[in-house]
Amino acid sequence: MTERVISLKNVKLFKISAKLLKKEFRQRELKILFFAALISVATVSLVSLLGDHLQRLIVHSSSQFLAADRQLNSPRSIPDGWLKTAESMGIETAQTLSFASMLFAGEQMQLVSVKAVSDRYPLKGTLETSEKPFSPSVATHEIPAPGTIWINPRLFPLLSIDVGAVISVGDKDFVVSRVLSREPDVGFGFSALAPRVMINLADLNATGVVQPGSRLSWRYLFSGGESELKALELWLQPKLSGSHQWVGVKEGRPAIASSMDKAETYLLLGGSLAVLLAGVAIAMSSRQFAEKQAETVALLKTLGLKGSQLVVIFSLQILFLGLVAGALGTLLGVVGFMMGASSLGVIFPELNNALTLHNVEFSSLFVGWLTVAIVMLTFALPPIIKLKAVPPMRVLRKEQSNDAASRAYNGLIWVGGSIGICSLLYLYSGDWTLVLILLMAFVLLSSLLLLFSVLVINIVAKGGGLVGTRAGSFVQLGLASVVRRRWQSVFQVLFFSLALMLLAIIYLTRTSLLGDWQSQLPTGAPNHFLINIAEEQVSDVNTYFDRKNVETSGLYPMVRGRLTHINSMPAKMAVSKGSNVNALNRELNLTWTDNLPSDNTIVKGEWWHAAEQEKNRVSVESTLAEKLGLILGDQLSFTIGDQKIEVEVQSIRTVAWENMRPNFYMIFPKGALINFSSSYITSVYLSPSQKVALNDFSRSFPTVTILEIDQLIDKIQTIIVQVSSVISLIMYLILAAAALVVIALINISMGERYREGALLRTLGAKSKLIVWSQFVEFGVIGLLSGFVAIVSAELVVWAIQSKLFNASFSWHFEIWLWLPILSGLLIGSAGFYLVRRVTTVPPLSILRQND
Amino acid sequence: MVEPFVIKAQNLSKRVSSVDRTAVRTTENNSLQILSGIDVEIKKGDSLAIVGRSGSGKTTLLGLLAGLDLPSEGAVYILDRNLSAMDEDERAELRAKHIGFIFQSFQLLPSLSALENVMLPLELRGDKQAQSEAGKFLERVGLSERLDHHPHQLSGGEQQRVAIARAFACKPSILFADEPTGNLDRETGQQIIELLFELNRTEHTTLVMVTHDDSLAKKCKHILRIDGGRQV
Repeated sequence: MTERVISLKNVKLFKISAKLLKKEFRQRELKILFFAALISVATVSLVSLLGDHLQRLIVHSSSQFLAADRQLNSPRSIPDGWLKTAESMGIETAQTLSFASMLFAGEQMQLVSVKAVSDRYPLKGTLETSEKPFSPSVATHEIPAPGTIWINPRLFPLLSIDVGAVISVGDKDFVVSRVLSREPDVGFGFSALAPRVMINLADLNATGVVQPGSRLSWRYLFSGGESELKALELWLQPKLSGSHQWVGVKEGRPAIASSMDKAETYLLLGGSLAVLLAGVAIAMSSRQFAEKQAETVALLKTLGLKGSQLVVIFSLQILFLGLVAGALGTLLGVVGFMMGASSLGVIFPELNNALTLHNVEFSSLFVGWLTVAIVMLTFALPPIIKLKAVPPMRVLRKEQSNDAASRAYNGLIWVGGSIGICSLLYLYSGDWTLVLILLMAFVLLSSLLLLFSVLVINIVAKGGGLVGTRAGSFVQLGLASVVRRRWQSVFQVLFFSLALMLLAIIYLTRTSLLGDWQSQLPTGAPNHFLINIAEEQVSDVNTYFDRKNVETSGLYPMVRGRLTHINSMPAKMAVSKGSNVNALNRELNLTWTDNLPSDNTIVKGEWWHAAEQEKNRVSVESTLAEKLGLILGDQLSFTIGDQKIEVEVQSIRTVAWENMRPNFYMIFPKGALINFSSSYITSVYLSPSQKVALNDFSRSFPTVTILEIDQLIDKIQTIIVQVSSVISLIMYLILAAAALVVIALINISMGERYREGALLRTLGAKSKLIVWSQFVEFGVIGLLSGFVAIVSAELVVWAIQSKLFNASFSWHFEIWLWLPILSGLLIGSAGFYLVRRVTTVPPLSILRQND
Repeated sequence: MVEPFVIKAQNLSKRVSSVDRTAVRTTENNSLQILSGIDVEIKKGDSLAIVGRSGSGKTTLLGLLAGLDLPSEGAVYILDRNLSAMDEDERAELRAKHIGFIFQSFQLLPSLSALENVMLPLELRGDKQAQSEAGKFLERVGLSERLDHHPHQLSGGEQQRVAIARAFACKPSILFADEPTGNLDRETGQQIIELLFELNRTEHTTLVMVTHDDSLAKKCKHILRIDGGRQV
């Protein structure tokens, strides 16, 4: 005996394993296991690569808007040492200084916004200039040479000058050398209301306009590696005072970034759900595979193999499947990414070089491999380890082992699965809230299921005697089978509804996400802002656009004022963490109107009616109201110029910030602000062919500032289209994973069903009775699963929408009808299809197989 | 008056395709011959024992005679109807009306109680009295106290009694039994056989039984001995 054990130690376990795998791969369980692993890796690789890429796009677009990777804004110059420290860390720096000043050209003068820039400005993004006003602009890597000035095209007609003219700012004369068409860091703050001029920072002192007490806006630009920038931020933070503002990727991002952020969260959510489903399929098929191996294991044990050797043999098979699935899945993920990302690259041509295979973030692929390792270790392996507990007696008697060891292994399977689910969810989301939401949904679903199964069994049982199989008709036989196999039915409803719920969640969030984006940026969304329109120009501007058949989003008056007191207390004291609320640190754009803007919604209080207009009222935007802790009836004091006004909060409203229309934190009734000097703002949509008319408009209204955001909107819209197609791809992957769960689950009971079908045929049942009863049985289970799934999905979607996407939620009653019907039909058909073989094979062979 | 044949089989052969290179009796096209040239004729009320060593083809012949599988050559007639000329559903209908089975491994559905297992064929033929009929037969096999028990709660002998009750409940013309005592100890086997033959007598059933037990075979009116797939 000892000799035999020693010789068996030398058995090449690997060879046995490979030989068995070759034969066993014909079994459906291993195929399901393999494809589920493949889908997990492909999904995770794809999601992770695309996530990185989207992140890169966000950073890239943010950098363009900041003209750097980070910005430090300050009303005073910062100590020289700060910049030197940054440079010593290998970070590139540049600086700009903006201030308002009068510009003189002979007898003409004009208030302008001067921007003095240092060498290397801009660190990110590009300046665009032209040789003549209103002619096509080209990108430049230069800045104004000392002694020269670049000016906004609108200044040429205003000052009646041409390129080459000499103009002065303060004490210094400058030669107008170029037309300044576009600067990257213009922002949406509408702070640069006066036309922009740009000079070299080296000329600043010569102008003599910067005096102690001048209102200055210094911007220090930093660009470099992410870790260096983080180190700089850590070093700088303790030195910054309240007047400094550190602007990172997050703060500096344009509206486009929030869409991409949502897309990324969505991809992560979708990806984790697909992997979760695949994990369920893997766990089920691995268990089924292990059960089928029990006799082989018992036999090999009687031949002298030890339990641990057997575990090695079968674990090697799982390892091999995992490796192949990992390699193929990674390949699929990379191919999918190259296809998806190359279309995204078109939007940012400057990023195109990042899309070659070299630059695929191979570190992202690690997540795919980590996934397959977790999935295989926690879902596939525990049932295999349980094979250790198979008694060799099983060769002689088909008995289930149910001793303490076997129960301990069952515990291992559950613990393994739970660890797997939690670690996968956390791996992708990095967000315990999301993990918690999904786990809660699972608990909720299980409780619902328990209720349902009890209910169903009671209803059907009360329907008239539970005795017998009701084999007289396929409908009755199918229905009776649901009750008869009650625990199997409960188990099936549990997992089908889990799969359907995940599918429904992703479908519902996709629909509302896409709907959300599309409603924000419909075709024809305004793509040009016109600001600084004088009151006397309002009717002319309206007439101008009426004549051109261009619709404006309405002209809103704008008065700049500062919120100083809340209920007679200084605002910064009244609000906890008041110094962090940006709205208290700057002037706000205030407007008045009698009509609630169409895309604003009152959430508290009431809008004023024109007839009952009160002068001392205000309507506040909801997120700002929340930050300031405002409630209806609060008294707010504003300083406008040198005057104060006091108003009462009458309503709180939501604002669609991304709709490209003028939006305001504070809206007053017309009477309240009418005595203050104001300028007007509007936005319009101009098609590419209408855009030429802008030059004409600028000539007619030289004082009006035009912000062109058409290119940005084009980018956003293209991204939405591309991201939608990527999301559809993720949907298909989830659908495939859900289908695998359905097949794996039906497969578990297949042996029993074949045997039952064969016996029924032996006893004289027609094939129609057998297959259609399967259809009815699975159809009923599908119907119930669909119903449970949609109820749970709605609850989860509500939680996700409100917690994750900060979006509104509405019920989807139409899906309550078609999801159960569709799932009933599909799962019924799957059962029908998978069991059909029982009627084509002689019953004798099935009965013999099962002997 | 000559009694008509209930089962008549002529020149039955069964081949299965095989890629197993170690098979001894492979023909040129790599198929394995399991049965060849079998002729059987059984009259109403007769009993036939099919005997032979393991692997001789007994169970295959039983399957062919009962229409559970089709022969490669030859024909089987049950009550003058050619099984090969019928489709699977027609054969199923014939089985439902005229044929009962008893298997070596009982073949009870584990999820059904004893009563429900016996009711199954009665329900398949739409018998409204399925429950009471099934109850009667279970009483006849001595299991009136075990109606609600599931197969795993019954001993081997009791499971085979349920199978016998199920087979006779439909009052079949022909009963096929495949090694009905193969999984039972001698004493229990003896009791089962007595029960089987008694019911066979009282119900006027034609019995076709596969066995390798000569003493059991001798209880039958005819014996068909098979060796290597051929009648001997």
